[in-house]
Parts: sequence; structure tokens; C-alpha cells
Amino acid sequence: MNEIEMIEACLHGKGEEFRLIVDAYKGPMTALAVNVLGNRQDAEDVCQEAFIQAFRHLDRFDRTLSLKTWLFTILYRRCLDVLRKKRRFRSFFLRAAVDPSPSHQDRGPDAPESGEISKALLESLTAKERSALALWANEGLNSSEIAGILGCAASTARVYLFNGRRKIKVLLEKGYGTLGNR
Amino acid sequence: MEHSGIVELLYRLLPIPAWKAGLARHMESCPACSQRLAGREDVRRVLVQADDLGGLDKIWPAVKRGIGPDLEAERSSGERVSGAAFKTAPSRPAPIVRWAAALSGLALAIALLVGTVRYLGRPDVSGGGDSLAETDGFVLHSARIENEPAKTYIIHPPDDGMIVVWVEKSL
Repeated sequence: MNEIEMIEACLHGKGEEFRLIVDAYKGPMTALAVNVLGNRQDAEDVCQEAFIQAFRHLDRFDRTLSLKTWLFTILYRRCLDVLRKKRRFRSFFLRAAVDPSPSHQDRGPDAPESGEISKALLESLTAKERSALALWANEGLNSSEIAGILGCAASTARVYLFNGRRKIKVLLEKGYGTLGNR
Repeated sequence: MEHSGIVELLYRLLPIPAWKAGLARHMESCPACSQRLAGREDVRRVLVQADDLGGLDKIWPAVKRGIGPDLEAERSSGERVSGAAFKTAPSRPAPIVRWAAALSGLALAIALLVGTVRYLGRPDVSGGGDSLAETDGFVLHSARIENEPAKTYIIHPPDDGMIVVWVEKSL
């Protein structure tokens, strides 16, 4: 069953068919959300909300476009909402600073937990730069496709991408060896 | 300064993303400049990827609860769901409209700048109560209204062959 058939089935009330779409995209979507938001719990919440929103509005999906790009667009906008409303970045770091969980104790201060990105990366790159980088490096999208998701001009997306690559290069050269999540 | 340093300095100085993007394109393709950028593999190494994430099985049950039987039933009966919270991608104006707007803005900024400079640089606006006012050889020793000293302004528009004398007094 291809994507269009799955969408048709969902539109005719077969909610179970939507599971195939969720299973196909939950990994890339959660990874993007983690890279934008910085922590996994928020990322999973946003991901679930994005899937629910997508299901509710499947009838508006333009079938000439990519389902993946559409899902990423919804997810990205929800991530921005979360960042704006709750400023999760700051609270995450404050919590981590005053109440380190046992799992943090035997790791270096900059070492990221599995499924989280490093503090240095979060502090150096903006959410838009991280989004552009994740879409470029993990999903192989070009600047035009990234621009469609971020809702900006292709030239602006290219600048986000460029700035992000430059900042990561600087961080790596400064010896932030624990930037990696693996 | 080396080539890539100059390019990077230019990149920092350029204010408009479209111009920056042109330089970014160069830096991505130039062997010397691209050494200042992290490659795709470097970026992949520092970002979280789908393969790093386990335990995503709980997403579907949560989504299923969110979808709910009511929504499924609504959809199967052909009713449309409300979409107040849904955000579609904002429509962007055509490139020609964006360029026209940018050029108009630039022209307006230049006009304002030129106007301000010319206004501030005008040598022939002078004034003062009963004091001597003079411009381009035109001398006015005093001006009075109802035998009282009055404020006097002599205005000489630069493009014009005339001199305007403005005398005022508060009554």
C-alpha cells in the first residue's frame, strides 16, 4: 500500500491505516524534534501532537507534494510553538544544573544523554539553524525543500544551513569532542 | 588576508540574506572556503538521528488515543473536522513582487537620506529676534511688527533665485 492509498483509507475512517504512516515517520520526526527542542520528552509530545494534527487535516494534504515534507512542516511549527511558549531550553538546563539525575553523574558535563543533543550545540545554534542542519544532514533535503518546511526563502534557508555548518566546525575545532551523541 | 578570510569578512558584513546566500554558495563550492564548514558527516555525528532513538513504540498508542473513535467515525461519515488550530504554510509573494518591494524600500531610504542631508546642509536658514540676519549678500538689519521686535527668518531655496523673508511675532 503506498502513501496515497494509506491517506485515502484514513480519509474514509480507517484510523488504523494511519499507523503505517506513523510507523514510517516516527523516527525521523522524533529525531528532528529532539534536534530542535533539545530533549526527548518534549520531542515525543510534539511528535504525537503533530501526527494527530496531520490526521485531523489529512483532507487538506496536497497529494502532489511529499507527505514527509508536509509532516515535517507541521512538526516544525509545533516545535516553534513549544519554544515560544515554554522556553524549554532554559528550564531544561536549569533543571539539569540544580538536580542532576543519577544517569548524569558518571558522564562529563557536556556529554549528551542518548536521544538528546549537547548543551554546547543548543547554546551555539539557533532552533532554525538546527532544524535546517537536521533536515539537510539527516534527511538529505536541499535548501529549497528546507525553505518550504521552515517557511522562509531558499536563500534564507541556505544562510541558516551555512551558519550552522560554520558554527559546528568551530565547535569541533575547539575540541568539543563530546558533541557527538554516539 | 587570505581568500577565505576575506570572503568570510564580506559574509559577516552583508546585511541581506539573499546576498549572504550568494557568498555561502561560493564558500560551499570553493575548496579553500569549504574547509571552514562542517561536512554532512560531521553534522550527522553531532545531531540526533532516527537510529539513535529507541522506544518509540509508545507514540502510536498516544496518537490513536488522540485521534479517538469519534473523529474516525466523523471522518467515515464524510463530515469535515474543524481546523482552527491548523496552520498552513504562509503564502509567499511572487519573487517579482518581493524585488519590487525591496527596490521601493531602497529608493525610499535613499530619498530620505538625500533629503535629510540636503536639509541639514542648507546654509541659508537663519533666524533670531531683532538680530542681524544675512544671506548671500542680502542683509536685514531689523524687522518689527507694531513697533515691537519680531522673529525673522530668511530662507533662500538653493534651486531658486528668490529669497523669502518670514517675520513673526506672538500676539
